[in-house]
Amino acid sequence: MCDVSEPTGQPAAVSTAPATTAAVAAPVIAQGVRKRFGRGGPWVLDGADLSVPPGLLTVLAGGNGSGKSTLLRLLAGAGRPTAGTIRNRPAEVAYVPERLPGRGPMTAREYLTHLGRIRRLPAAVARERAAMLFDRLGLHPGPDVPITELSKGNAQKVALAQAFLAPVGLLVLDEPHTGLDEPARHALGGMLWEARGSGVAVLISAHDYREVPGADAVHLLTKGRVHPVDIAAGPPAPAVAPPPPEPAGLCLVLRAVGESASLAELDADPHVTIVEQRLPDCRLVAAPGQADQVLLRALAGGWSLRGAWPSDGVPADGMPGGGG
Amino acid sequence: MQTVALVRYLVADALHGQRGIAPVLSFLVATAVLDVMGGPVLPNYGATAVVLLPVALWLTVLIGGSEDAVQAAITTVTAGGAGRVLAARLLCAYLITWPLILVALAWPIILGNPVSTTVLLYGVLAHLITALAGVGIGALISAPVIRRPAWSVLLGVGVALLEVAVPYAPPARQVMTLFGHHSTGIAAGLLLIAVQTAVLAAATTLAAHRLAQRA
Repeated sequence: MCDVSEPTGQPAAVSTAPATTAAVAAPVIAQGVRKRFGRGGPWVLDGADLSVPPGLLTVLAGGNGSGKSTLLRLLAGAGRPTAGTIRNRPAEVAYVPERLPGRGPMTAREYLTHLGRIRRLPAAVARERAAMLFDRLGLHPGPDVPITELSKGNAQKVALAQAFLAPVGLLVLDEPHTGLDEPARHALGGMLWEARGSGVAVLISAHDYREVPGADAVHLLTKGRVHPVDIAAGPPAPAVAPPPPEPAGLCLVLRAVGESASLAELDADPHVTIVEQRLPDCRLVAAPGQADQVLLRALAGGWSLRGAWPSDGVPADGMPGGGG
Repeated sequence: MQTVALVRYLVADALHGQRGIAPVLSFLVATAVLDVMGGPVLPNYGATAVVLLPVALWLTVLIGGSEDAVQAAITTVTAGGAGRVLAARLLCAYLITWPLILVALAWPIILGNPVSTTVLLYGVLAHLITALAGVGIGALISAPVIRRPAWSVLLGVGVALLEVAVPYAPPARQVMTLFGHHSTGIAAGLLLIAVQTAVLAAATTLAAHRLAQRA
């Protein structure tokens, strides 16, 4: 059963100006979090544990489709885990998605004024804060343009600005550097530094943790679980390892279609090497001479065949039309 | 205060997108046609109240799906929970029906039909009841519970047909029967339908909240 505790703790300040600090005392904790979409879907998160302490910048690294965005949304409170717990989530949380799609002609200034009001700021204060944040992030061509007409990078600045409108205790940013120009990256770095200094628990996702300067703690999400990365031990290792050479055999692309489809079960087969997963699809190599048996077991286990070709030990380009 | 801000944002979003025009116009046209056909005012109020149910349902579905899933996530986190956003969405849809109710009630008076205060009060209550039912059922068949608009439309049309076709279906058919065939006990009958509808709306809202959490 899912158990999400009530928000606790006092909101801390996130500010582009000197902040008043009222930090959250305890780290925000994800414990044994599992998540799947729909009853028969594969597990995107499968027992993920993560601690996001206040006053620190925590980075969650992982490849495409590893479940980073899902875990971030659950920690921010935009969804509930299928199982497991999220504890100590503060009352005030800010969330920055990977991209901000605009709909309708609402301008960036109007959007932030509304969100400021929802955060209980007076409209004038919300407008003033929004103007200051847009200025700092360098929003072009300006705040009175509909969000739909902004470029990807500028729409991302709007998404970032809304997160820094009012004091929060937890700041969750999903690949915030994507699409940002260099001045905006620099400005974001400063804003994150200030937030951390104010005692805010900051969680950022990235493909590679080296994209996030000043990280205090790094975790790697792979196969639905979180593993700590020791950044103090020697030169930084890549958060996302380069793809290993594929073993020889028959490469199979499978899609999970049944409730019983289990990636762990496939992985446990000694004749199978999983080389890529983009749920609900996965690409694996069946050992020479074992392909028929592996395929039969996979089909019986709720998987459907999407493609097959001989593997000669060279990494392939990926899955044909695979899910993201 | 926060609920007011949320409703204000959702209304602004709906107005910006002009998504509410179709249901609002549908209701106004239906009201005009029903009133031009003439006849006693109370049965006419019953008929416009019945029409209001699918219109309120339609508005709820539109407001539920007005935000992209990513924007909806930001709104949920900013507001501090999905329950608050759901409550604001339903309140927003309900409030949008109020000017429509005003038009439906005023139209016979503007056309010169005599309307007693009692009949007017019955009319107000009947419309508030069917709008509430429409919003409550709409919560269950709109995003984030059902994200595909085609399914929402299909279910919405199904519910509207059942409301009109099934004898004694609460509350639309009951209101129509009460206003069309009864001359006494209308107040008590309306009160009973109001209680049933409040329970129905509370149950569907709670169910919608639970189902949305699983999505």
